[in-house]
Amino acid sequence: MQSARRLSEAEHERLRRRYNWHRYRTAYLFLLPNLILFALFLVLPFFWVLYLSFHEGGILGAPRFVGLKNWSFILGDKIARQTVLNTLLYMLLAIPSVFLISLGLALLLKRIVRGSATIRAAIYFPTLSPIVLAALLWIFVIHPDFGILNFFVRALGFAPINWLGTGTALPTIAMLEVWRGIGFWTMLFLAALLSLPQELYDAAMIDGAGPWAQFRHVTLPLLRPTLIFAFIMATIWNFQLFDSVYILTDGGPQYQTATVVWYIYKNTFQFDKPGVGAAMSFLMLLIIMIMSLVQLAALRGRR
Amino acid sequence: MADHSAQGFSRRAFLRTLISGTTLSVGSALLAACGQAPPAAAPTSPPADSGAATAPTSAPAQAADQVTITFWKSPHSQFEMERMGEVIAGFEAQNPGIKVDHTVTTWETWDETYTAGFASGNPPDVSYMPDQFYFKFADNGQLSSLDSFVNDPSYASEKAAWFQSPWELGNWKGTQVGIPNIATMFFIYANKKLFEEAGLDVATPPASYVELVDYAKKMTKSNGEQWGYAAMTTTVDQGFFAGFQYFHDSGANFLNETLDGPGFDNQGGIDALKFLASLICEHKVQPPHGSFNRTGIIDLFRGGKVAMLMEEVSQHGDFKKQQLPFEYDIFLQPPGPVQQTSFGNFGFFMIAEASQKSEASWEFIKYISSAPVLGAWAEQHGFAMMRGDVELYKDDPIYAKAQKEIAPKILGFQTHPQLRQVLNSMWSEFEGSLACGRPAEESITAAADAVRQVLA
Repeated sequence: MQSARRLSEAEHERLRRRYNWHRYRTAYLFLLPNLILFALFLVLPFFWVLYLSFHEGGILGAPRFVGLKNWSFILGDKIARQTVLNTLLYMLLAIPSVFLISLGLALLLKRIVRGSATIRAAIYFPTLSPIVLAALLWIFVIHPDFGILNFFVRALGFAPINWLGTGTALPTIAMLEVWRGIGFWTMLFLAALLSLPQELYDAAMIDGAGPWAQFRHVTLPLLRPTLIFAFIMATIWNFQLFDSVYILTDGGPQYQTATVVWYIYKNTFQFDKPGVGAAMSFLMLLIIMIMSLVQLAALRGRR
Repeated sequence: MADHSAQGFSRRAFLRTLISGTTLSVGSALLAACGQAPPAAAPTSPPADSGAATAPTSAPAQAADQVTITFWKSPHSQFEMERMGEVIAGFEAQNPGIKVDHTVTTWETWDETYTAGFASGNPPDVSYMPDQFYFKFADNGQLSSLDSFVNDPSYASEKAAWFQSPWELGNWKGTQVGIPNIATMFFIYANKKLFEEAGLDVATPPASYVELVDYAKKMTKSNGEQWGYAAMTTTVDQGFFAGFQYFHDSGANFLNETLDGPGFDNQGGIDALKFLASLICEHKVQPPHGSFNRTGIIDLFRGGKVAMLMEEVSQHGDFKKQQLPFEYDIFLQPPGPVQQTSFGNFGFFMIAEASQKSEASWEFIKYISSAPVLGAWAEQHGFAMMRGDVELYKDDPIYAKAQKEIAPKILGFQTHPQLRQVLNSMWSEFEGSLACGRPAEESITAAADAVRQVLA
């Protein structure tokens, strides 16, 4: 009787690799087209923009190395500072508002059985509307003479408001973005609410929990993963506010609605300063990462 | 009870989400901001047949050697494709050896489209660019010199036909890079009915700023029911088009004469901004800054709620089509302490430095900017023409007046690669006073500082 030959370490490693390759190659092959696109359109531009941030020109003309000039410019630039503050203020106005309204709507929709599909479609509609259409529509909503907002303002006995004037333009843009975002976030929260196990609510009811107690002690804790995801994604997306600003105010009045991405666009395409735009892009990346980490720490800490 | 918190994000899962999310977002922002094209090396030598290197010829290319040139232009009307198609058909009939591949680009994405097109190294052979848009392309060596073409004796009579100011604006640092096309200009549209109701006559326009305010007051009703004067004032509407003539007329300019500093931080600039702000804040004869966008302001005029509207010449074409229920006339704002000008700007035809078909491109530009072709185009779109050898708008007294009396007074931009940033920085600060938030002196100082920073 022959005794089984013992594999050496090297043979063992070789066989393990071969096994793994056979096992995973199909998956890698399926992933490959996506990875190529990812590298071409995200990874390469990422490093290209990093390169640009240390140069002047580089798009229409040859790049000229300027070291940290673009970085020191944006750190000392009054407008760059204001764009960051405006963007943060906008996020403070828009994200809590859209989450509160969307969560409220999702809780209501969860209870509606008849006609819920129609209502969901109606709520989701603004999300589908192109920004140009949404902005045009809002020009009528905020029109000083016949806009619906000023109609209510007048009905309450106040003077009509200049909705894109000093001090009001940024909140108006936040309102527009909340209106556009409600559909998406409502559907997300509704999906999360519908996936929560009913037996927990039944148990809570047996324990004497009312609607508020159920929401506070059952719904909210179970929604925490969704809320964490939602806060982080909302931060990332809303920090990139651009199109409504570009269409409605172009950063005005007096830079009060100028946002970070608006300033990146302006520098890169209109002011012929792609290096400044690139440096601002990385500043934005840094801010988003820090904010997301802080959010995660805060939300996880309360578990 | 299941541990649902365990379904939450682990630290690793979160970091994965965060990294991919931020990479995606920043990546997309960077893509949007910087395009996807590699840097175009600065051209070191002209193309083999570029105008700079080759003696110009007026003979069209021969049919046996068919050439196709690409031509990009943003629309002047919703009928751009059809109308330009007719122009191109006329050109191709005269020049059987040249075909024109015409692309209508959008104004909304103008910057991205042209920047990407030129950065890719494959720009259109011929492009149409408004003055303030072309400067950065010229500054980066992306536009071909047309000197050898325009200085050719066969072009002398054509060259002489152009008004001096647009011709000079097509000259970038001593090199002609653009051939003027049409021009736009701003002046006041006056509602005759409202003038008459106030006991005024449009045939006697206000002769001074004091009189302008007086007229506007007489035609303003409280609660925004009727305004004596209206003009776009915001940055998003490029309010400087409807306001900078007051600066020019007061002796101010965007930049100083040496183009290395602001040209409006002087008494003329302060007086002009003070006057514009006073119309809104002190005399309240103009709608508040930002309360209406440009379309809204024009609608007010159309609805008979504005007596004097500072607007563009082409607006007359729309008013004609809309058949306003009242008659109107046009006139320039009153003369300032220094001069009386209309603010306007010009469009130019350019040939890309990277074009390998500059001679065919020049033939096309010559055709499209010739008096009969351009004259018909200007009339179709209600623009002014900056040539003295064409009589336009024989059947339209408003346009005829604009072309004859106002067009020669157009004063446009100065040529500087950072002009668009200068305009943006300057007007954004002026908004502080136009929104009644601070004195004109402070806004002028802030704007001048901002412009100095841009130019530094």
